[in-house]
Amino acid sequence: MLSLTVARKAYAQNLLYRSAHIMRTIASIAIGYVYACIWIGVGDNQSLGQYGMYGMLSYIAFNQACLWTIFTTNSLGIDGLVRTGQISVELMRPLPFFTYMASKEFGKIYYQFLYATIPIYLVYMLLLGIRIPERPETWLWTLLAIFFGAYISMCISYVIGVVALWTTESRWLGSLNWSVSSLLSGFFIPIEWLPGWLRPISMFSPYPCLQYIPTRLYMEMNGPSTLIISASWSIALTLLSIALTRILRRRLEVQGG
Amino acid sequence: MSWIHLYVKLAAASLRGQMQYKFNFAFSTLMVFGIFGLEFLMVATVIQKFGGIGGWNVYEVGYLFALMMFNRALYRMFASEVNGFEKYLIDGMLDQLLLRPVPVLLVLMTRQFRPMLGELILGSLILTICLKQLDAAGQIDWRLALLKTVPAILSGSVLTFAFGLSTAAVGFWTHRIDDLRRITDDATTNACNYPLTIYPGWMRLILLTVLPMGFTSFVPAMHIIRGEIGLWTMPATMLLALLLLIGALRLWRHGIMHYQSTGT
Repeated sequence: MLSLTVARKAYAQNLLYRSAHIMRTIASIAIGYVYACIWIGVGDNQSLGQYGMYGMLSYIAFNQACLWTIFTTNSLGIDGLVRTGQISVELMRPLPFFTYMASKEFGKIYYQFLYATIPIYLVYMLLLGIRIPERPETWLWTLLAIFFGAYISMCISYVIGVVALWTTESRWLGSLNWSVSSLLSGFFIPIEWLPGWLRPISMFSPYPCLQYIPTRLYMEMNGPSTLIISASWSIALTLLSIALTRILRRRLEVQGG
Repeated sequence: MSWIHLYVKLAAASLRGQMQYKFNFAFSTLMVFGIFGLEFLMVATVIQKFGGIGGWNVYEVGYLFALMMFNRALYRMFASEVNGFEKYLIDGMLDQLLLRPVPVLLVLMTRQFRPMLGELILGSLILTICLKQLDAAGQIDWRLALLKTVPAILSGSVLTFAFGLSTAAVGFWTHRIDDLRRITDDATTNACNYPLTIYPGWMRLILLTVLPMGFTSFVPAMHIIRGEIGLWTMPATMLLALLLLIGALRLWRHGIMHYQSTGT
């Protein structure tokens, strides 16, 4: 299993910096707390629908913790590979390029899950007392949804990375994707509260699979049938990524470093 | 040649270099506009839907957002590489700068000089809309508010720069600073996009004393658009910015004397 070895190596590489990443985790906890305070401020004299104040606090805190599972390398670093010419070497590896990049990224995501998502979740659970699922099977559905979310996020980054063949500024598309994701994934606002024109855009995009679906499952507000949406998007984006890889192989012009 | 003249020449050269890629320049400006626009849209949607946050309406929060956008844009315009100083320490790039016959900070500040058009245009747009709306509601006189906003932005930018420079100077001892920057810059900047009244007392205290980023947006806004504190806050904020800048420059000078190259 070559791809597993690649993922393990990427995990080990990230593991080297785990003490340096402590500050990053603290900052993430602080930023999540700011978002929680915003909702506390909003809910001060308003009812917050089916969530309620405590529910929204749990919603935001869980989303902030899960953020690290969808926080992929910008463009998966493909733009850098094109710029330096290293991509010609990467394409020669005895592993399909998409599988290779995905394995590498999954090693990093697994590291972030263990060393960012879980600590942040535990801190919020202890300090904010966020809600915990009542049914044991909810944990399984939530973990599955998180896995799909991470995979979909990785596929989107891959597609953006491939755009580097046409423009040297694909990193900006990565940043824009991140902003669009913050809005449409339900990270800060549950999708049902988005303005009317934005709601259908979000619903028909893969973004809700990143945060909204896992969090609603975790909060036992939706059933496991929503995972079908995540699975469908995973298949669709995998096919798109494979198709784009074919174009990439034919279109490649190395900039020479 | 005066330092300012030299700065202008080097910054212009850096800008000319970037303008060789006109499409990329226009594209990145457009992207920045979209990114920050979406960020504001996200928060404005919530505030509009629920009719305010901590007693502040959407235009008042928009004003805070615009102030922070200008502060960040001016800081990144003049000191983009101070913000990304870690690579100079880790990759040994600082060694090259030390050989030049000009202050290191000056050379650093001329590198990657960017006009930050996306942020400035969006910031101006949000600021104009918010001031006009607050004026229409009879809360302020927009001309007077705009007049007071200019020094508020200047002192806010100096404060932001002082924080960035202090964080960068810590790198002379620790080498790695990107993660520290996430707290001193990213987390505090994010917090100051909103009225400090929504935070618990301990957090407000931190943002007004230990990491006084509250003076970049909240404190000036309390005078300019809310009229809850007196005019004295304006010179007081400027004085604080000046003192922090002097402190940051001293820390930088002290740090550079203790610099040891990583050798890479």
